[in-house]
Amino acid sequence: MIGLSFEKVHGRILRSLKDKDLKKGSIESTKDERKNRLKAFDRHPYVVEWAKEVRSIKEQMLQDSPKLMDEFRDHFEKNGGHFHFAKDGDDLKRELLQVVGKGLLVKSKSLVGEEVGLRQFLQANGTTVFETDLGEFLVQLTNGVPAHMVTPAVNMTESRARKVLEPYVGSELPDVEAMVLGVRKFMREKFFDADVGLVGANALAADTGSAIFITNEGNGALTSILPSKLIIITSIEKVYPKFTDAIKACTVQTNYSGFMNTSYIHVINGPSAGVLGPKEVHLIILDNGRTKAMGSALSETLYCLKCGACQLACPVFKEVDGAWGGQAYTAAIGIPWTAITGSPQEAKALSYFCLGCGKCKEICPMSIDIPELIRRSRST
Amino acid sequence: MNLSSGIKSNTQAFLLEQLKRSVEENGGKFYQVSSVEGVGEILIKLVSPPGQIITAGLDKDAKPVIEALSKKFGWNTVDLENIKEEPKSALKTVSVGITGADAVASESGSVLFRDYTLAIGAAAFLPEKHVVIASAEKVVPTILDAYELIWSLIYQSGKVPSRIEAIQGPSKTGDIEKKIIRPSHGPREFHLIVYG
Repeated sequence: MIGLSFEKVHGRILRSLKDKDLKKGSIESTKDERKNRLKAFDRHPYVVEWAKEVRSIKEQMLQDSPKLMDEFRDHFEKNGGHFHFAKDGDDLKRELLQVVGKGLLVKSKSLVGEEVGLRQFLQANGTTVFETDLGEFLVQLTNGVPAHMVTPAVNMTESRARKVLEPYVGSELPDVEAMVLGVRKFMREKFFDADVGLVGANALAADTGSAIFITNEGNGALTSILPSKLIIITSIEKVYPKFTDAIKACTVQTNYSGFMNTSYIHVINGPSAGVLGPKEVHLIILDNGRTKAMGSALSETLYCLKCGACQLACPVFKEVDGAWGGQAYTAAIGIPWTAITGSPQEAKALSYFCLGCGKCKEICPMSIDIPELIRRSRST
Repeated sequence: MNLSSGIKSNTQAFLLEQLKRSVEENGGKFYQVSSVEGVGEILIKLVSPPGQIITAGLDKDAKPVIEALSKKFGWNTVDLENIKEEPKSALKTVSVGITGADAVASESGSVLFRDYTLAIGAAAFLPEKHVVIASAEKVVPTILDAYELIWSLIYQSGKVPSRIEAIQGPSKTGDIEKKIIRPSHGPREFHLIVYG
């Protein structure tokens, strides 16, 4: 993948600066991020200690990566799941086609999915795909890319969202609540009709063979309990040695995202033993440059929990949001992620727009030296 | 003996008080009654209008309470346990789901359960209103304690469940301009009744 050139990135950023509608969306969305995070810390003071603990667990995890993956695989298969390893995006798509037909697929948020262009690939292949996370649904309907790791439509104003949703959920949308309820009704039918559910995972636990994912909307719950087939896609740096470590990592991610907690923490161990729910559970774990990055100058990137705090703290992101980024990952830590999983040339082009202010490093729960990683993305 | 039970009840009182605060902060409602008989009175208010009710994972004390109420008030209640086929129309029209819990975490206001057949998940995630009935002995200090309890139950039984769920309040979204809206795809209301 060649990716965007410096000139293309520059052009996108200039256009984004002129787009007044988009700018308002970003500002509305980011203005309380600091306050919300402090509130979460105040409520769960132990989380700052947990962040330090998770960082040291992560350091060991990268050393033990193959061993942890084997241990996870053993437990996951023992619980009745099907395990697939994918070395890159093409490999993942091949594995996926073995499992997914042309029917209806409901999907909850997955950054790994964005990384390999999963939705677009499935649609081209004849599968009907619905993104069930509201932000991702808006991104899907506008053929866009997610602007932020946790809130993908962070750059969309209420009036733009209304315009986008109208053809699907009707024209009586006086406020955000009406939009959310309209989407609920529209999507509920899809959940019941779907042949396959596809979810991402925030963490895996090697000792129990569990895949853990967190949501607020409950879309992940319905995606994973209604269709008779379930696919989990995730990446290799998320295999924690112990179940408790994985839960701590999810909690740290939640609080640093600015949420006091998420409505749901789902733990998937294997297929359903009853008449409801998936009889078949597949997990595809993606490498896509990560093993190679482990010994490289960008290895610290792999400690990232994808909480998106660095993006919200970034002054460039506040102005231009998703315009400063690659296919899946934008701003701050998104630049070295692009170098590892996408195109090094693109990451290089993107790296020149970092101001080097260090706000990202300051807020990162894993204390990742993000400005340094962005600087290193120039020399690849 | 008196001393230790005194300490225990103090601790219990603290945990319940903290739990109430956490559940309310998460956007849910909390009720505490001294015995399982008191649960009925709260349910009558919550299940109104009755509509389609589904239940799953209730403990052995709560189950007869709901059976009696359903009989008395003519509620349309479907028990999702031991079903032979998927009750599609009940799942599509459900308004109230009533479940039990394996553990309740005071600090985070979390309700946790093991789900082998996804019956409890269906009752917890599909309806507009999710009501959890749990005995006070299920309340533990933190979510890590709750998971520890759950895994010890799993290892005792030797059977790994399809799911372990932790619920912190009703579903919500902040995806449009960070305006928090309830519900999103899951329940609009979350009620926790602790008895005993």
